[in-house]
Amino acid sequence: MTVLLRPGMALAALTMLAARPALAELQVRMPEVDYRELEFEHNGLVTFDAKGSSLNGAQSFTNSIGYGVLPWWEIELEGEMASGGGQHLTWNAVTMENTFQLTEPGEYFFNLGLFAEYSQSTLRGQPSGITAGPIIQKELNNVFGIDTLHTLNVLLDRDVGHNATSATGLQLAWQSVALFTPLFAPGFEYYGIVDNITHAGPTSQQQHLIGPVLTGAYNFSPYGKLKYEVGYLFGLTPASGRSAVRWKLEYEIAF
Amino acid sequence: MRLTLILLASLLAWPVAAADTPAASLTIRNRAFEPAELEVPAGQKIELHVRNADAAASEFESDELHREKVVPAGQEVVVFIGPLRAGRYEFFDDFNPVARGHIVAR
Repeated sequence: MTVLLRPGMALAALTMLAARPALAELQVRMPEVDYRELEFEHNGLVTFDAKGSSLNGAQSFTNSIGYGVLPWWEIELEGEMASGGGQHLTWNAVTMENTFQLTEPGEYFFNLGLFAEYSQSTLRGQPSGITAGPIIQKELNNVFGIDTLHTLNVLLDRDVGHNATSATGLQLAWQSVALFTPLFAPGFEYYGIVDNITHAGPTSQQQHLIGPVLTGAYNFSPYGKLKYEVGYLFGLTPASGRSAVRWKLEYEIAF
Repeated sequence: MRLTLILLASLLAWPVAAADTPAASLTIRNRAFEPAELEVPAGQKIELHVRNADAAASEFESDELHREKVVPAGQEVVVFIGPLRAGRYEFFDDFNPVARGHIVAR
């Protein structure tokens, strides 16, 4: 029974704690690393709100390429684009993401991972950001005859560089899905974003969204695997907007 | 941040893979699984040892068991599966998908 903790690597990532991302990205990160697999990933988010609101029609897209370098470390290079409602899309950041798998899936009560990213702003005068924190996952098999998967991300973020603020933000993400078949795993997810945890302000000024999600994967082995996620989120506070649609498409292949 | 570290430490100190977790073994030899059908007890977590006796790397993968793990040439890895309901679960070598087998939980 070996704890697959890499204290040095985990500490290095934790020292990056503190920072705000260049872009709020709604996705739930998983703690497992796909060693020796090359992946291409696209994420999209469109928000809806009252007419005239900057959140109405706001869009955010990321495209990335990643690789499982070691059995416990995956690195990803990502480009981020975003726009407010009615505005043109702008290329606003290039991000390096790291996922560290800390435990063997299924060995302990929880599966644990650590996420750490550096996001370099490509916009003049805008700060870059660092985001890091734990990924906690629980597999619950045979819940009324169905296997289920529950994943929680607790990420802290902080600005760095030009015009950086001293605020530390919090990004929460939670996804629970029922694993009916590999291709069809529906569930729900929640996202919470607090810009400054030391001055969180009233709940109405924080972003909290919840809604159903459909996930799945199709294995074309040896030609790779296609994974998808599509979710509809309801804003729970005025700052969240009325609703949002998000999606994720990922292709991975052994390389 | 301190709260996060305490939470992490607490969770890691909570192992549940008891010493009496049943173990089972598979070997990859000549680009095939031996045995091709492996019987395990239903309703229990299984410590599955996968040994690669070949000179090329393989990847134990199963969509139904929600597991994938690379097995380097000449080495052995451990994959934790279950607890499983009674039934048949397919697995394969993602680097050589012709190699397939089943875990049968009874």
